[in-house]
Amino acid sequence: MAVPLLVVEDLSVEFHTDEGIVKAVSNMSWELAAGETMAILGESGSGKSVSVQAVMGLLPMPPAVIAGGSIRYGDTELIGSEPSVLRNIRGPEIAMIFQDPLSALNPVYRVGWQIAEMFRMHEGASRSEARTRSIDLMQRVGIPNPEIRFRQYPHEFSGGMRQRAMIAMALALNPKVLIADEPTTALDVTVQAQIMDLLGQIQADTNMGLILITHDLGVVASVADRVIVMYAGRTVETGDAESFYRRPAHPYSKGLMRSVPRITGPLERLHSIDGTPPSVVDLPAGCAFATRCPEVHDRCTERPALIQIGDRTRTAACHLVGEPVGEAV
Amino acid sequence: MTEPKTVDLEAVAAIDPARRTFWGDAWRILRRRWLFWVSLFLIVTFVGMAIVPGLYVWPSPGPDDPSGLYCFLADARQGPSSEHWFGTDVQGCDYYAQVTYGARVSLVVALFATMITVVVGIVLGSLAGYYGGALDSVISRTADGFFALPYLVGAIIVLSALTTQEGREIWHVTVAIGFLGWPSVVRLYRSTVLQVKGLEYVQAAKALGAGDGRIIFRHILPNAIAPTLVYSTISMGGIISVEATLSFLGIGLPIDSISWGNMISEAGTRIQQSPHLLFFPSAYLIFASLGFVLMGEQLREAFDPRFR
Amino acid sequence: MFRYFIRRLLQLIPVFFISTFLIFLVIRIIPGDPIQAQFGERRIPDNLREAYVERYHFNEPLWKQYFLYMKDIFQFDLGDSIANQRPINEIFRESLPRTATLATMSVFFIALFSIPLGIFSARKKDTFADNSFLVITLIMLSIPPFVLGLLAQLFVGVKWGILPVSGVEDGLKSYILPSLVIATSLMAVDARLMRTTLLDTFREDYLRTARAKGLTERRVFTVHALRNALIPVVTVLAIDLGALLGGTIVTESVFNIPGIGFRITRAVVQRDTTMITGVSIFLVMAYLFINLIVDMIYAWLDPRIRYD
Repeated sequence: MAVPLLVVEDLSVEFHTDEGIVKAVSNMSWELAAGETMAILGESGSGKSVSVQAVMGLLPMPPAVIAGGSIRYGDTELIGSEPSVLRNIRGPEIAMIFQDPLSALNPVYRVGWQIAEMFRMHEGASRSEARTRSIDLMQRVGIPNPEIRFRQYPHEFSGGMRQRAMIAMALALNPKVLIADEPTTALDVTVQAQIMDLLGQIQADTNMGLILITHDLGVVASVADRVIVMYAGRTVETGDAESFYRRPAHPYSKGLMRSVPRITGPLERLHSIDGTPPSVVDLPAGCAFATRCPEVHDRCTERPALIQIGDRTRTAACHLVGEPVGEAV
Repeated sequence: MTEPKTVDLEAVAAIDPARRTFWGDAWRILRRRWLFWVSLFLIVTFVGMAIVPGLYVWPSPGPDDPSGLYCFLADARQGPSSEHWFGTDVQGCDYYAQVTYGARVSLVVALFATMITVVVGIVLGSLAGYYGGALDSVISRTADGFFALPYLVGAIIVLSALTTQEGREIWHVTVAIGFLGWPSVVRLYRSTVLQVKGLEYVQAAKALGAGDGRIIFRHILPNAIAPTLVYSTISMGGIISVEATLSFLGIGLPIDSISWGNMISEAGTRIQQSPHLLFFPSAYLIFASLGFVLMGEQLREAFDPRFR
Repeated sequence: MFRYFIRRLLQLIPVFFISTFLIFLVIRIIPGDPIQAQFGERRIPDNLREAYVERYHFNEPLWKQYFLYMKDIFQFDLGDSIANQRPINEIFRESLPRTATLATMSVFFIALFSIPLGIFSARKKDTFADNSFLVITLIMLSIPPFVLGLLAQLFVGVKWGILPVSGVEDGLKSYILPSLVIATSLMAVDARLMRTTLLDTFREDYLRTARAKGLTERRVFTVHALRNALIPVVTVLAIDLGALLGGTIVTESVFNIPGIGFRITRAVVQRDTTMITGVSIFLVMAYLFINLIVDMIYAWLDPRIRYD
């Protein structure tokens, strides 16, 4: 296995609010190597966005507290680093794109200017140099007529083009890691496919590592090498994408798979997972999924650790794993 | 496969036993804020002064002084003392009593002017917002027309149009002030009506055949009124000031009426010799105004969806 | 941008006519004979009265008077003042610069204080400093300008003698104290606005993007956040300037500055209907014009508005 670029070990993030301490992320660990695509899967509130924002140092630190663990990029420990060190990593080395490109772009500045800002601020490029490089970049991400578009404002772009602009901004300094937080959720389906293709193509060209946050299983299936499933801030399953799809181990993952409506085969009633996620302020001591789990046991009052399954690097946080329970889906 | 489950209504209700409503939420937020209680205290104090001034002033009418105002010319223009807490005015009357009695006129004018503004504003705003089209254009353009003239100038013009100096009465001033305030309320209310109009339950009410009047008053009004309520409360504070300003300029209440504006106006020429004549009605004016403005602020924060 | 300008201009036209017509209407209703008012108790010879009536078209039907008046307006002729027997334009040439100076200096002070204070308060949200700011500004805006003016005259002018308090003989210095008085109330409002908009801007997603780009906090704040937050504030400052052209009546009265406000109060007392009409219409035009400019400024600052 290649040398990992980004290593997260036992990361825990809490929010200290008036209503109590929210354990947004509990004991999360993963590694990302160059050229790898890792998908973080989970529903709203599962902690997936918070975890990567912690990596980027984007969490507002008064309410948010990093309660433990480490985040290492190369040799540098990111937690507790000086802001100036972090600023040299955020942007040039690790870049991030967000869910809603309209609100993520500053409405009063031209798009080209915002892209060029990367060159001007981090590399001291002159305005004309920054402009040239930005236009090239816009071309590369598939924005037509980049010279004209350079001078336009975000609201003059379509949704898909805005996301391409965001991607351009992120890729400007050839980062080694790109984090994409639900990049296609706000877009039309056809545009979604285009954006995912673009990301794949860029990754092929640059061998950059890609972290994809999503709740969409379909997206995961087409691009991910590895999958991490989160629930209520905890990691419940990890593994390579292919075997995950063929045989999900954790009851939650199984529930997710089953909920995807099938076009082929006989018509069935839609499946859903009963119940609602637990309040993150008041996490149960045992397995967080126990109240909704169709396979719940007495042992589930004890919080399960991540157990290795099989001979690949697959793990699942469930007491029932390791026994032959999972059926092919 | 599991059996299909029916939705358990009891369980759903159990999730939220408080059965939160918009107004209930607002109240819960309000009562926790100490500034709300401060503003309430101020308002109640001054409203009390207006309704039952006797609670605050203890005149003992005697044979020399049937009105209980302690007016003895010999005592004119004295500063504050233990006998006269606020001193005496130009005619020797106890200033504390005067200032207290002054609350009534100011608050009454403010209240009625605001009521006029709000009622007219809501009616016109409802019509403009709900029906739209030509009616909306006419109302909105007229409102804009009123806006173009500065408030005070408009008030001056209207007041001089209504009466002459001698014939002026309190209700003239009230109507003039109220008449100039409706455009703001119309604009504000109209925009909230436009927002609420598109909401689903309004469509539902329409689909069920509810008449326009019913929709406007039972469905739209309770939900569109919050910003207007905030605005009116704050503007009451402003109107108290406006009325005093008009009186100061000589275009407000008749000179013989006891109002803070008149008192300040008279005090203005004597600031050096008798500063207390200026201070006390000013202080009351400021605090009365502050009470309403502060309350308006608290209401605004209570209604603001961000605070939930 | 140009098209936007034209569109706004066209929207203004009906407002202008409605506004001016309303003014015209109201002023004609003013009781009392404007011609007689100029002569006090003396009897006016008939031919003299006829000359007046001729000159001011008083015997024509209302709509015709309005039409003739508008015709003059478009030739920039505001007519003559009945009381002063001088062209109103001439009177304006004297008084307008004074009001304009007052208004401009006031807005300057408002901007000078409100923007930094608002920023400071927003950054220190929920601290003691912030809460004090909120309370103090609330008190500031509850004080009616004329009260503040009188108090300022008393302390600053008379007791401490640092700044002139009356008239305009001292050149620009005469305007400082009145401007500060005017600025105080408005400064409170604008500073709060600055605070609110900045706090709203802090929650915007594009700031997160800016941080993700590795920009310094300083740059995120000044280039990305502030630029957006200043838009409503700058707009309001421009509106303040427009509003103050007609809103200095009280301050001019307290500080004896012979500007437009002073003129209009005099005109009301003198029943100088042409003067009142002239001043009002001028103020309306000024307001509409400034509104147009403000809209242009806003469109220039916020690119989203241009493509409405």
